Amino acid sequence: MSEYLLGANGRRLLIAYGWLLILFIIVPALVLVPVSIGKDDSFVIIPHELSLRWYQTLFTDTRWRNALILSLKLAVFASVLATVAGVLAAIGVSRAAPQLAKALRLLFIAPMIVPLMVIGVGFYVLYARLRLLGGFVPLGAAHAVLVLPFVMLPVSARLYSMDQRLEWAAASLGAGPYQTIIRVVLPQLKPAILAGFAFAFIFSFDEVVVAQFLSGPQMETLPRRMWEGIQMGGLDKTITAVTTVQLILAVVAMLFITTWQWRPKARPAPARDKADRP
Amino acid sequence: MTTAFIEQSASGAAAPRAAARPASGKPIGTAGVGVRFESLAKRYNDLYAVDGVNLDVAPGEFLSILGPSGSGKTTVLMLIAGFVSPSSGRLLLGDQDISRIPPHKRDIGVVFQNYALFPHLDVRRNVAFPLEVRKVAKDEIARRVAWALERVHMSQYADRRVSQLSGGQQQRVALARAIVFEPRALLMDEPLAALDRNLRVDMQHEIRSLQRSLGQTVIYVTHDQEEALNLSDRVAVMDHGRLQQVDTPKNLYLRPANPFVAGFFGEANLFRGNAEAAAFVTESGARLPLARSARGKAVLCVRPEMIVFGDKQKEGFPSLEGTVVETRFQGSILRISLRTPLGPIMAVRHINTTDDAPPEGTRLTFGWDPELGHLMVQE
Ligand SMILES: Nc1ncnc2c1ncn2[C@@H]1O[C@H](COP(=O)(O)OP(=O)(O)OP(=O)(O)O)[C@@H](O)[C@H]1O
Ligand SMILES: [Mg+2]
Repeated sequence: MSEYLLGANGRRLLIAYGWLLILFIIVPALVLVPVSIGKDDSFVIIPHELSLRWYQTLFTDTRWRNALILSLKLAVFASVLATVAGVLAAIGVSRAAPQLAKALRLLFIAPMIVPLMVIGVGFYVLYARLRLLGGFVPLGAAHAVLVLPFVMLPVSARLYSMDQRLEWAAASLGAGPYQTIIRVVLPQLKPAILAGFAFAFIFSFDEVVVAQFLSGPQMETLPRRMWEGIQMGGLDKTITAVTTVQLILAVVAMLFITTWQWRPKARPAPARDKADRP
Repeated sequence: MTTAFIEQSASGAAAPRAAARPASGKPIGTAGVGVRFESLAKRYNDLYAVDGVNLDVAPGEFLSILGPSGSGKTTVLMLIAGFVSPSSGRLLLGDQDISRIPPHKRDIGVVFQNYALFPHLDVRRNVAFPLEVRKVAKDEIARRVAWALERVHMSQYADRRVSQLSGGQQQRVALARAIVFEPRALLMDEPLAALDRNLRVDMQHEIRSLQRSLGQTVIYVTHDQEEALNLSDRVAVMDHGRLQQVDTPKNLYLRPANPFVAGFFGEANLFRGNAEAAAFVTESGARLPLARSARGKAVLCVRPEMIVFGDKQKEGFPSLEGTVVETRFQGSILRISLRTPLGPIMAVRHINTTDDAPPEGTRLTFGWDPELGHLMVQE
């Protein structure tokens, strides 16, 4: 609409800017994909000879493979925990008095705003005293705290936009509070919950700062192993295979989220009258 | 909207109550029970949204709550449904005090203005919802859902998603869902407000006939007077959280309790003044005859169609004079605005092909049968 105001040159400029922005966002993410399928050790973007050997290393070398499995287990544990806690918290907060709800919402979203370093050191000191350093469950719990906002945010937003009269309708039809949550509220929240879960999973899978502090000497998560690989100077090219796997995971998660969010929208109804459909 | 009332009122308060019989098994559709308000009030901060309402709704009655925006209609409904709790007073369903019972245990069907259908369920599952939460057996659910959908002519849409239905169809589904569990009363908050006029009239007929055949007690909120009069056994008129009058459509028109009600239903010529035995003395000093003697500050209400002109005047009618300001044809009636010493007067006449509308500026004598003048004494 407003493109009319820009004129032909302005429009060209706008399109160019748009492409530049898009490339700037995706090129850094994509650049390692061709690198990862190059056969030799060098980090060239256009490989001379193709090979999957770095992927093979990732899945066969025990250190890499263990790191991958540990990270997957950790991400599942943390994101499931955060999803359960986050959904319950969001529902609870949505029912609290406005002032209290505001304060609580801020509290639950804080892990996203507070620097990871602060959280990492905080947990480190706490866990050190409690002798929990290097444990899988303590690390998973810390990760769950970190990813809680990823669940809280979309679920709260969905709850906020949900028509309260649906809950009233459920009550008038005989559904008690728990039945209403299970039969009406949760199904409405499903897309938001899945989105939150996917974000939480990806974040936990990638997270390195807090993991660095809490994993102790034995536990080596994938991002930690990567750091090591980079710091060792030798630049283990397996890292490029890992990043590609992570990228694929993220893309899958994003596809998953978008298809789930679009699914409930059905074809438009025959417009026989003017109903106030949202 | 002048002539419809008289016929309407004949339909009286007692609706016939027949249980509808589905294809097999025991009949579905029990009659509703009565609802009683005892000094019910709801206060929001300093504002009484509902203020000391006393009202008895008979079992099987169709009662409309009518009033301007913000008069407390929705609040009354929410009080009955249990979504808000009263600040004081009691609410009885049948002979049970339900003031403190949570909404899901009240067994009252509610139809919302925006229908509030569950978007994640198809039509069938929406209607089955109240039965599923009551843990009704599967085959019984199927039987009842089929019955309810048939009652609202939506059987062929059972497998549709809610978003694939038009507004009118969604309204029918909402209605089916509200009757399928045989509620003790049915509440509707402006259920037809979002529909266009033709569809609204169709739906009014259907709601009315459904209510009659089920013998269901219905409390129906609307701000459309015509709708209230079309549907209801009685209409409760609200203003500022208070009940102004609860009566049959005919009485609301012919015997309004106060100027607010008189003005709310159709047009009224209102004269303020004092009743002094056989005459009513207006503030401007005119003496108007009364059919029955009365005393005190009062408002006299004369409906436009009761005004007669010239030689149609009879013995005992007030004899007044006025000048025609404007005449307008409105279908079968002619509206005449007069300027008179008593203030502006509105008259209507059924159009009679033999006489023409009086041109502007004509001086006319007019009056009315004192029997038809309605005196509202103000305490
Ligand atoms: N939750 C609330 N908090 C404060 N005031 C409220 C609340 N709900 C309603 N009110 C007030 O109570 C009064 C009655 O509201 P209500 O919704 O019952 O009116 P209504 O007759 O249904 O109006 P409408 O025809 O516009 O729907 C209004 O003045 C409204 O502002
Ligand atoms: Mg309302």
